[in-house]
Amino acid sequence: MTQRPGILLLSLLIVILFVAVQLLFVVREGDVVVVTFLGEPVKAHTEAGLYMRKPWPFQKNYTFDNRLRSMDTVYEESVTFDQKNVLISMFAAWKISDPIKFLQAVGGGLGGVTLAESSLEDLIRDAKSQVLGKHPLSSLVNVNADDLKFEEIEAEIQSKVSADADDAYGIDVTAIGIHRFGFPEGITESVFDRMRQERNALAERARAEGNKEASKIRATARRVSTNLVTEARAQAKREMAKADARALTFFEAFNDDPELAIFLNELNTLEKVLDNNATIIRTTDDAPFRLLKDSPDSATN
Amino acid sequence: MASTSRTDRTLYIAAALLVAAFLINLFLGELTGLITFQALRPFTILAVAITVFAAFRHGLARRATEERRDLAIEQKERTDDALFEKDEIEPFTIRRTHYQVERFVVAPFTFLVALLAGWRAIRFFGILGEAEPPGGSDLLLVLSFLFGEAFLLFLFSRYLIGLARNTDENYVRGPGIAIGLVCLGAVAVAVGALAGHLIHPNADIIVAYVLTIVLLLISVEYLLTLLFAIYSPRRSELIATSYHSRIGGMLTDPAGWVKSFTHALDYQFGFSISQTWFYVMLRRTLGPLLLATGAIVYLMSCFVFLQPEEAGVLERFGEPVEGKWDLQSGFHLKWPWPVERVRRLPANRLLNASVGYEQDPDEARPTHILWTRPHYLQERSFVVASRSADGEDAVGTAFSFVTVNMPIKYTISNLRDYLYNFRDPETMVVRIGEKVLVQALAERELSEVLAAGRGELSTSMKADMQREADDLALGVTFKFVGLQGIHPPTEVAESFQEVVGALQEKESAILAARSFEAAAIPNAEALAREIELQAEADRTNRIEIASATAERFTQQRLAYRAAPEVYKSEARMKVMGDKLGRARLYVIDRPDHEIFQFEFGEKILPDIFELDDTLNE
Repeated sequence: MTQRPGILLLSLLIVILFVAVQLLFVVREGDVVVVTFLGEPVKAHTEAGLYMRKPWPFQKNYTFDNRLRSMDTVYEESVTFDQKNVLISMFAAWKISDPIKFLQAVGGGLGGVTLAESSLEDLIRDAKSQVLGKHPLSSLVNVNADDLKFEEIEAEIQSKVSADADDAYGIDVTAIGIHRFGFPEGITESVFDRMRQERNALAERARAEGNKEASKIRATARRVSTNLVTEARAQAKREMAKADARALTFFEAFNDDPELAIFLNELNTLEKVLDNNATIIRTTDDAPFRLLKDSPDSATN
Repeated sequence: MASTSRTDRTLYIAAALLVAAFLINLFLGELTGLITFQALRPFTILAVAITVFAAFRHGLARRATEERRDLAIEQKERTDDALFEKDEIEPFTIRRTHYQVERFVVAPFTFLVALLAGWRAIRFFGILGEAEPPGGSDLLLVLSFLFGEAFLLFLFSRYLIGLARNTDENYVRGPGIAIGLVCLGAVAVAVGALAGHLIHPNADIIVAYVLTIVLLLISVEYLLTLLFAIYSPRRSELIATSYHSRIGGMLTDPAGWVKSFTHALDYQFGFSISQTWFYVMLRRTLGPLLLATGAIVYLMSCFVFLQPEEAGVLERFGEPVEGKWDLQSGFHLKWPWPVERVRRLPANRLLNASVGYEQDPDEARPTHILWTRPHYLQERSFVVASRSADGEDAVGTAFSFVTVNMPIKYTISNLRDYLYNFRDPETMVVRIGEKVLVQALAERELSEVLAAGRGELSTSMKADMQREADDLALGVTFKFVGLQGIHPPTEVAESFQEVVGALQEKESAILAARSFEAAAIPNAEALAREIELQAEADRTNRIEIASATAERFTQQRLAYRAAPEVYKSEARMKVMGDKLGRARLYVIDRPDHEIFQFEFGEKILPDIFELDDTLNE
């Protein structure tokens, strides 16, 4: 032994550490430690620090994380006061209020916490069903904010759960809230159908309004155009009437010699009627073609 | 072979120690749920079996030696008349039993041990595949037990291996290796538990895999050694050591293979390298060097380097040290673990959470986000209020759905609250966001949420979330609550797009009418103006022409009065001169009054000469 002081030192160190670990334990901030002596819970340490203990197997420590834990309930169908089916999932923030009661009720380790959360979920689901059964759906969804009762519903559920959880499991439920809210699939599909119809109605209304507005604009434009042209034509007629009246004063001159006037008029008309495509058949008895008849060589031409 | 009853006792004590360790580990395994304890069990059982079997063989050999010695003394004292000495072993003696055990029991024992170890290893792989990380409990207690038993087993292992090496106690090498393996296994379990607590929860499972692989290798090694021994000329010698694992020897007795290595070097280089000053110094200083390295590594836990985004809380025996619960980035000194410990938090970093959607971490951020196509791994629909079809307020009859992607950015404003009030503050941030969002949407209409009310909603939600977080003392400050992805669910998104399309159609129809209006009225104005101007022109024309005609008539009348017939004739001729020159003219020269028929429709005669021919016919 004296030849190997290192091994001796190491052995001594390990023994000291082993003994220290057997006699001391640490409670970390946020943790709670329940001390049992031969299986009987005797004390709960909630303050962080270094503590003495009796060696195993006399004393056994159960350490729990005593910070607030968050847990969710299942997304479950419930019925409101007015017999409407809703899907709701709640969350809860909880921690251990009475560590000894908690240990006795659910046991130590992860299994204990799992069992506690499972039990707490049962309490919350039960309270939720009870409370929702007293409120209509309009307390959960409403365009009038004053009619919404989320806060009241959550407070009612929490007050019911807190008392039972503390009494039965030593759990303090600090907060409860609704974090998922919806409707069963069948209702959801109907809502989708309604939303589609709502949108279709809006779409059709928009199209109809467009057509209506367009027709109105076109009709107005047509009316304005027609009025403008009609007024212009009427004005034109009136102008022509005035012109005719004025022209008539000049035609009085024709009364001085009606025969000449008629002759000139006919001549004027004849001049207008005869054009390049006219075919005229005359005899040599007509002027000036009778000149052709008196000519000696007219026969040869 | 020097055999003593002291060696027997040592082996039996070691076996008892192993049984005690097995029972303690069984309890610790149940207490902690660490699967490595299960992986360690077959090593312990193997070591117990080998140790007891070795003690039995050793005792038998010792007693056989004693019997042989007694027999030799007896033969020396007795006068023997026999001509020939009997060389064979007599039945019903210890020597005979020892002979038969060595010949018929060792090989089946090794075979059985190998089979059981292999079966257990293969079976355990299946259990490991479904294993889940354990929850931590009494870690220090577990570590103290594990290191304590590892230390005791180490002493026994070293003693037995040393005994086998120095005194040719060949029986004890197998138990020495087996106990050493249990010792290493216990250390591995402790390391796994510590790493699972500090680094990654699956470290325990990884260590269990390593132990099981080693077990499988050892079982295969046993079988191969046995097979090789059966067909070897040194059959009895090899079978006698068939359960002395070489792999285990390398792990538990590194000096052995170092020695082999140096012998190989001596042989290769032709001189005794193991006698050089360097080798001797290395051999002397290796132990202290390793110890010093361990000590330095341990003392490194006195130094803390907090990264730029980090802040820390210093705990002494689990309790935050007053004035040291907001350590900022940089270097800090502390007492070594487990006296003091620093808990790090990304206090200066902008932390992210998301409500209403879940992004696949393996998928890239979407480049196009369309309402009609799901763009995240999971998107949630929220209930929004609606008015009933007749325009009345909804009384629990009308509601719609909306999909919301709400990213949240926040910072840790109070380290102590964030660290010690909530076990999982990130989840609580999400739950608060979901709660506030569910309530905010339940009182708003879809159109409000989709358009104008969005900004107001975002602002009010941020304030509500902050109030909720403060009420729960969560220790965070919300920097940004975005409502960037609000849209109708994909199932109805097309209908919403159709409305937008219809609105465009409406606008389009109105614009078309406006363009018609824009063209029609100026055109009508232009036409009206044209008519008016034309009327003015016609009026002027009518009056002026009438005036001029009257004036001309006055002059014509004067001329006419002067020579009426001449004037008429002149006027007629003038017209004929002007017009007949361009018209088609036929002049008929016939004295009698015949009737001529002209067929202008069928054939127009080109000229008057052809007409003449026609007349002649």
